[in-house]
Amino acid sequence: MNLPGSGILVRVSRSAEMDHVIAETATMRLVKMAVLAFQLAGCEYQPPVGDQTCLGYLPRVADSSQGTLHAPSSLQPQSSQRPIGFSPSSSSGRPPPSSPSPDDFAHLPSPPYNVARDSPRLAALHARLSLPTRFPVETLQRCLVDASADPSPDFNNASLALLGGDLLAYHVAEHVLCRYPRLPMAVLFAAQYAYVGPAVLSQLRQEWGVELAAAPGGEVDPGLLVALRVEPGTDLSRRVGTGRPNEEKHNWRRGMPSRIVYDDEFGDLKGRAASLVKSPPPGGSDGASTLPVSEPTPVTVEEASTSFVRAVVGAMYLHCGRISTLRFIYNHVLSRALDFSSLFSFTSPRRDLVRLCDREDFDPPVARLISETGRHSRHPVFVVGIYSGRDKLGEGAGGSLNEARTRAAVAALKGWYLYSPMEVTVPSSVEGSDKDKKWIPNYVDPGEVIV
Amino acid sequence: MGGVSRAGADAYAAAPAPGAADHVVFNPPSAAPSVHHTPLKFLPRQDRRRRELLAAAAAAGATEPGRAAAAVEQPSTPLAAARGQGAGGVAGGAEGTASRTPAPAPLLPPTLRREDPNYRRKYHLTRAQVDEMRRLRLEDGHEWTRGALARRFGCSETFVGIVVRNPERGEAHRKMLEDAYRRWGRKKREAKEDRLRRRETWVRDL
Repeated sequence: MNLPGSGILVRVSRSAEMDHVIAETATMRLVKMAVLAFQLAGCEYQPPVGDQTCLGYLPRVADSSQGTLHAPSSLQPQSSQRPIGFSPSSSSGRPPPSSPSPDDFAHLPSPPYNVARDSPRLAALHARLSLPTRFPVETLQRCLVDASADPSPDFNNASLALLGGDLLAYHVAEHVLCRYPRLPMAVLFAAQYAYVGPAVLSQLRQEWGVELAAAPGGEVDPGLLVALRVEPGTDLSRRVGTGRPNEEKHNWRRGMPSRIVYDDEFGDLKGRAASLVKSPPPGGSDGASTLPVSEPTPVTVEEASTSFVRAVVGAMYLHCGRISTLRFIYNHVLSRALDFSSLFSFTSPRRDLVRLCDREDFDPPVARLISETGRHSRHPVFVVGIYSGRDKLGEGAGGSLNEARTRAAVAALKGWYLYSPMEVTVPSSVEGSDKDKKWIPNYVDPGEVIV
Repeated sequence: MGGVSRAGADAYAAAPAPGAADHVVFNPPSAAPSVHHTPLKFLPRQDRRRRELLAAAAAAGATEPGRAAAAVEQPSTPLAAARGQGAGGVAGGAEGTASRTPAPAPLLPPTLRREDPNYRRKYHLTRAQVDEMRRLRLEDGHEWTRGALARRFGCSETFVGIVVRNPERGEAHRKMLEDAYRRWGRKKREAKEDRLRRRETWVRDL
């Protein structure tokens, strides 16, 4: 199946259908802001323009139509200078919005928030993604600033990407596991990778029409993704900060149970490439290393794209709420076609099937010849069915009896693993105040076949 | 997969006149069954499709619930005729099946040559026999190969491999194979590599 907008994105084989988002011109008007409790505890806050998370950059504007800022005095000094991760020569802070010459911002690591509203690129991207008007353009611009370009957690997208990544991983896992409750763990990892893996999110970034700036800086167009890129030819194979107890043994086998415990939602190693990290963190904790780092570590285009798309989802959740985020994730991620039957690969399907029939107390599987043609010719075709008792479990055709039997066993195992219940109630669909939706427990399987 | 029966030519003959519109002829073209159609046996007990498949199978006149007669197994087809004559004929690989086991119910196709539908694992070996197996294999690996031990103790070669491994013998065998591979020419080597590559597509279902 080769659908438009698809590529070889995943480890086994799959194709993803591009979701055609209807681009419509968004009306840009004054933004109604939400106050983030975790950022501004106990402070009543109505920012005049821009993202409320950009508190440090907010100039005090006297114009009352732009809103007012009520912040505790401890937060006030931040409005005049850049908090952390900033070169000393640029301690004068952001210039006022009345002088929007790009060269004035060359000393900044990333474009300032107040040029976002004038950027045609950002407005076009906002419209192309059909983002609601509650999603401010300034936040969209912040989503485009990778942590490698601007190390300050107040201005880069690391926190939004963390939230968005968790949301994406949760909703994909929920979507997949409720519909296919018997999937083996390896297939679940592959499905996660097929939906929200770095390669797929990178392609999503391309489909959204977001391009990368050549190098980070304050003077670049705010509609470009800014990231400090790795040098070509850098060795990215070994990783540090994985959280594994023996991470220096990089060639050790990683079994499925340890992948569940230590690794990310795709069963891949966490952390960063060892050649990029100057001094690896002693604790090896991954989550902390991405937030406040003093020295930026370069990233690949794929990593930067991943954090951008995740940050958009995270910002969507903060500004527009759960329902809009669910719809956004469904429109852009979960609506893509994924052929689950192509994600499987068995090493010994017939033995697995015997174990399965043992476990489920079925009759042992027996291969039976359903039909055949040309046994003594150069191209015979055999159709073999695997039967348990009198029930056919799977059927396969092949050029030899052995091939047909193996294919039939694979088909039988897939028939088991790809069972999909008729009624599915994903947990997130009954969250909130929907009184009409009733929670019906989903089918839970005893687990995959362990040989 | 299970429960869906193709209508034969007689379904057309039995189709009512165009005036009576409440009749659907379901006669799809031949195709491999979809793996997304879970077999009846694999459906959980509470699944609604289970009841419907059982009802459909009963309506199709199957002798047993959950088992609809495939078109090729209809009594008038050559396959059924060949099976009726016993071994040989079309299903040449099924010789000996009838003599070894009582013939299955007439609707089931013949088994493959090496498959015994009544085979059950025996779990008959005692600890002393396993120790004996281990001793023989380690003492004289050339004489007591896996196959020889499997024949003597009435178990599978895989089980012998689980019980004991003779590293010297394995190394010698590997070396022998490597020497043989080294003598191969380009054609033979590529043919072997192609075969291995094709075999990978079996389990990937490509």
